[in-house]
Amino acid sequence: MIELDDIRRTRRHDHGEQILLDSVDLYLDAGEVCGVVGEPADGPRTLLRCVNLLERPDEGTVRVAGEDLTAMSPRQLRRARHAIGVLGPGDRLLEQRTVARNVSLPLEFAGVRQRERDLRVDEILDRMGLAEVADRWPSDLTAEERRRTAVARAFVTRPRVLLCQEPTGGLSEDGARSLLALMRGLIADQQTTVLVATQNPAELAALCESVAFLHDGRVVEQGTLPDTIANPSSKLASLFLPTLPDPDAEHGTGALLVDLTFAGVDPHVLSEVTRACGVGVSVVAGSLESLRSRTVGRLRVELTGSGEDCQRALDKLTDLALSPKVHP
Amino acid sequence: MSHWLSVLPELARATGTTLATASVATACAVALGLLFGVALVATDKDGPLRVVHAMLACLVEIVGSVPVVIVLLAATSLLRASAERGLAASVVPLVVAATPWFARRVESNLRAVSPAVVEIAVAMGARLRHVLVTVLLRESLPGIASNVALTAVLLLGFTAVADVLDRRGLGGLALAYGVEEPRADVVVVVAGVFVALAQAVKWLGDQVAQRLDHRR
Repeated sequence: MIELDDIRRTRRHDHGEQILLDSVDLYLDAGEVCGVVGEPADGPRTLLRCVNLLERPDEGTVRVAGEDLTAMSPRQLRRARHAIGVLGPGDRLLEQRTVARNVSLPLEFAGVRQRERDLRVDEILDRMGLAEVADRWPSDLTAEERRRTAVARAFVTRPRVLLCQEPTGGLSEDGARSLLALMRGLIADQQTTVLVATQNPAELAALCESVAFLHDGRVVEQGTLPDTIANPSSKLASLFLPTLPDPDAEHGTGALLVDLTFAGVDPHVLSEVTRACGVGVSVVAGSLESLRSRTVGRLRVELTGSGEDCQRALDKLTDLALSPKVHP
Repeated sequence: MSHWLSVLPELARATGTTLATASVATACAVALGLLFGVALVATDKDGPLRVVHAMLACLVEIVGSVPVVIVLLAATSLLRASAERGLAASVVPLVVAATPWFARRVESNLRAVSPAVVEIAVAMGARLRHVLVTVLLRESLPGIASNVALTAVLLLGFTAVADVLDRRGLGGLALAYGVEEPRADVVVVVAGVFVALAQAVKWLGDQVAQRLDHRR
């Protein structure tokens, strides 16, 4: 559905040329949801803007639904954009239009008749839980309602492709969770192909099946989300892993302080290994969470027992890909 | 007291004349200024129509730089030659003088709309007219309404100058009773009428702008 071939995008300024994207290839099947991860300077936003040609690549081709956008006339491109939804960053609502009229905006641009517009707007507002605020002005809405309005506006045209940047940025944890659930439902129902530029692990975990990691304008890692999580050396996986504080010098005397990385490994193995090796174990820091049925996180544990038993436990933990890191 | 009996009808007539001139001039200057302001934004200085933009900007700058009294004097001498007088003769130079000012205000109102909002409209496949009307003009309507009121106040002042040159309206009355037949009390009343008119227009403009403004 989305095919980016050898995309290069540069920006010229007084001191020369800055490469924003370099040799980027990205292919998304219909209905696939792919996260684009990277620092802002590494180009995720530019990549999304190149898909709907808000920024025209210097080299390469952009195909959406088999059509080469880079070869289109301005009129053809405008029509093609009617099938490409856009969301974020922020809500970007028109403050002088009510919620319903904000949502109907892309339909107006696409020339959809008033009757059809009203039906579609009512339907999506109902689904987003916004029916009661349909006639309110955006300034009267909560942050969550504003973002829901933006999501409704992005999906009201039933776009084949959605380009989405940090969809839950600035929302509370609960607000973000419910918005992501709504988006997941809409994406599944409409079979939308989605590119999500974000660094938020919760957004990636909730929406994406695949991820691409951008660094210096190049795709340096790419794969399915479960595979990525299962590879602790991956830069992408580190997004999902909490950072542990510096080890406390006062930790228990005689105990071995070890950092363990869980990337898809069942946490029960820790107690099984330590029991089998006859060492005591207590967790002193870190956290684990479940992402797509896989346990991901970092724990700092204290192992107590004889040096030989502890070493045996460490060897087993290494074999189980928990990457134990012993603090002196 | 008795002289007021003769002055009051004169004052009412003069106020009517000045108001009619200023109103027609405001309507024309707003319509033309809106067109020029939108055109200045539509033909962006870095876009493909930058030559048109430069020409428009140049025209607005040049006309806007000529002091209003010079525009009025030029118009008066031109129209004297053609022996045409009346409302239209007063209105044309006023419109010429006020249009560049209002066009610049409209341009600035339109440019104050967040580029992010414009960008999302373009990303949704908006045509140029959608961007200009549905997004830019609609979003900047409260600011434009305020500027319409300010233009009306500005044109009241310009009309006073035109009235003096044409010896009609409130300006003509002030000239008659201020210089030719000095009566300070009449001039003070004329000044008071101008203050009242200007404040009324400004208040009305603020009310309209407030009602149109849905931002917080």
